[in-house]
Amino acid sequence: MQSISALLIILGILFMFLAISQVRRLFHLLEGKIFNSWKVLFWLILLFTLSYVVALILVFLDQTQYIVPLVGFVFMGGAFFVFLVIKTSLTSSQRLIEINSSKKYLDDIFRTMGDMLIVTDKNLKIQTVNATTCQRLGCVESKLINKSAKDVFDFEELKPNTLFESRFRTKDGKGLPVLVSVNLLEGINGNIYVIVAQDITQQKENEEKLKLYLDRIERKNDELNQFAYIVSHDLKAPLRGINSLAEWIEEDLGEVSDEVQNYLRLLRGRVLRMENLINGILDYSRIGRKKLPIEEVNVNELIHEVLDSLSIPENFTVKMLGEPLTLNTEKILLQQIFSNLISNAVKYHHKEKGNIEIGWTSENENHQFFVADDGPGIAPEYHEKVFGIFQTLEARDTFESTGIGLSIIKKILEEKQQSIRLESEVDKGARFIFTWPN
Amino acid sequence: MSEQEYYKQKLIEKNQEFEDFVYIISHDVKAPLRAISNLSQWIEEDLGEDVTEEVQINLSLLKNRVKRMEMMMNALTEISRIKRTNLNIRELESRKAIEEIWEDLNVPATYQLELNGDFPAFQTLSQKLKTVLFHLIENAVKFQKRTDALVRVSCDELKTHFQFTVEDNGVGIDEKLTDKVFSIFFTMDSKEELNSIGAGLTLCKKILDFVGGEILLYSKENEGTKIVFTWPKEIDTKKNY
Repeated sequence: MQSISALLIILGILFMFLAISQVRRLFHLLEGKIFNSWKVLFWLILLFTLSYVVALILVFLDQTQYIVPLVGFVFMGGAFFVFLVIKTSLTSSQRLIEINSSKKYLDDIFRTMGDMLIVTDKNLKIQTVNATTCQRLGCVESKLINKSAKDVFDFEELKPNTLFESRFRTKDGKGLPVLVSVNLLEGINGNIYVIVAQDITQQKENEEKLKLYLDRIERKNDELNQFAYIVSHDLKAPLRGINSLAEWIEEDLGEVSDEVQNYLRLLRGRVLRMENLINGILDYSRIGRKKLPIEEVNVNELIHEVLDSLSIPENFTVKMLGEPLTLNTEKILLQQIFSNLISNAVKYHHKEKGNIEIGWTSENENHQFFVADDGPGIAPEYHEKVFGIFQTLEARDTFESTGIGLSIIKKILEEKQQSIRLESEVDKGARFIFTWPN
Repeated sequence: MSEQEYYKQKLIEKNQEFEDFVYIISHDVKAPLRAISNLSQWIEEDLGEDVTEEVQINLSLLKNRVKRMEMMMNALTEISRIKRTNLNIRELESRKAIEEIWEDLNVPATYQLELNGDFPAFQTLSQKLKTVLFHLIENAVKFQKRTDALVRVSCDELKTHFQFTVEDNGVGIDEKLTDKVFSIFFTMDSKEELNSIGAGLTLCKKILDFVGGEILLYSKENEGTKIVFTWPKEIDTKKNY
């Protein structure tokens, strides 16, 4: 009887040692609440193992009368142990359910997301793809697993936390333009690449369309300029011919009636007007076609030059307001703008004395220049129109004005991506304000 | 407004700018030109018979120049009105139209017209197609030095367009100049010549741009000229080309 008992207890101790080694393995996997529970269980197991050893000793020493209290202790401990194990199991199961539903949640996202998702190992071998990837590439999941990412799309190297454009190799050969983002994560068995690719077919198409529009606009612009140039150029020749012929006729005729003299004078006047008109068209067409020289321009000096060349009549007072300013810019253009604005201010003035103010302020990106007069002003409803080509508010006869000046100014400024605006009301003078780059 | 919308709008504005420009030039330059023409007339009338030969020659040259400028202006006007006039869709019998053009041109009896292929009868902007055919055939007849002049007009049916070809055995154009021929006022004749302003091909090209066709010219000096153009079978006049 004693030897059977001893044998059974020894087997018990063996199982306890096995249990202890398993628990130690368990410890590596666990954390948190469950870990703490198992720590307690571990100590209980140690305690039991100790009691088994004690029981074995008692059996050998034949002091079996002390085994009874020991057995009582072991029964109680055992029940407590079972209770703890079941409680821990419960917690574990709950955790498992949470994890499973989390997993399902992620799986659903993974499955239904509209972008393509590819997960590869550190050697770029594909481990997982989502449904969208298979659909877009046009092949089943099994065909993609274990293939290299390089088989699926083009790239030099996958740098983590990068965003770049690429093309997916689709089954039908057409290719799919994509925007790819790459992330490097630590996985269970080493690093993994998480690749998310977004279909940018629409964006690419829009880019193409935009390029086309820009191209057509540029070509139309070139066409317009070329057309204006050719027309004005081809019209000048016969015009010169007409002028010369009229001159010769006049010379050859000598003494003629007043009427004929008048006709000749009018004829040459019209020829001159046509010439001005055509030159204006030529100027208009030249803007933006030639590269003009850039020089250092002292704005004060420039405006004085312009005033001199325009021969401002004595009844005009010109005031200049602005800090001394020197720019590196196309002098000719700035000169044309001031020349046009100031000559307009003089030409359209209606009173005995005239006042013209020219000034500027400087901001960070550009300068604001203005030319203001106290002339008849322009009604607000015409403020846009005055910049139209050939627009004049008075009949062209009255002022020998070709009506091109303001449209030239506008075109010059548009080419430089600047702007001009007009502040004016009838009888309240006019102020033209334009910007010029720094 | 999206970027695309913005640039589309800009393109429409640019197109409009071009048309406005052409219209304004032809319109505003015409006024003083008319005045000059009238004045030269009145001067001539007032001077009467009693003028030197020199003055007479100069007066006539002056009138010639003025007339030429007027014709240039008229050509520009016609070009500027492409999108606004003759927009009626009517039945056109192209074979008959070509034959009528040939008759109207009043060519020497030795000139020959050859028609190849099936010429369609269809609903289209018939006035504009007639204009294009007229200018091309007129050019073929004008730039001709041989008495056995031959003008061959053929037609092929493509999927969406009809392809017309106008060939001649005339003086041809130096290959180096063939890409200039559609430029406004480009002409091989001297600029004194009142007969050619150099706007015919420009007009044709602009009309074809408008309807959605294409035009190409092949030529070599002294080896005749071949012009091929396509005309759409169906025209959508609402589209802003």
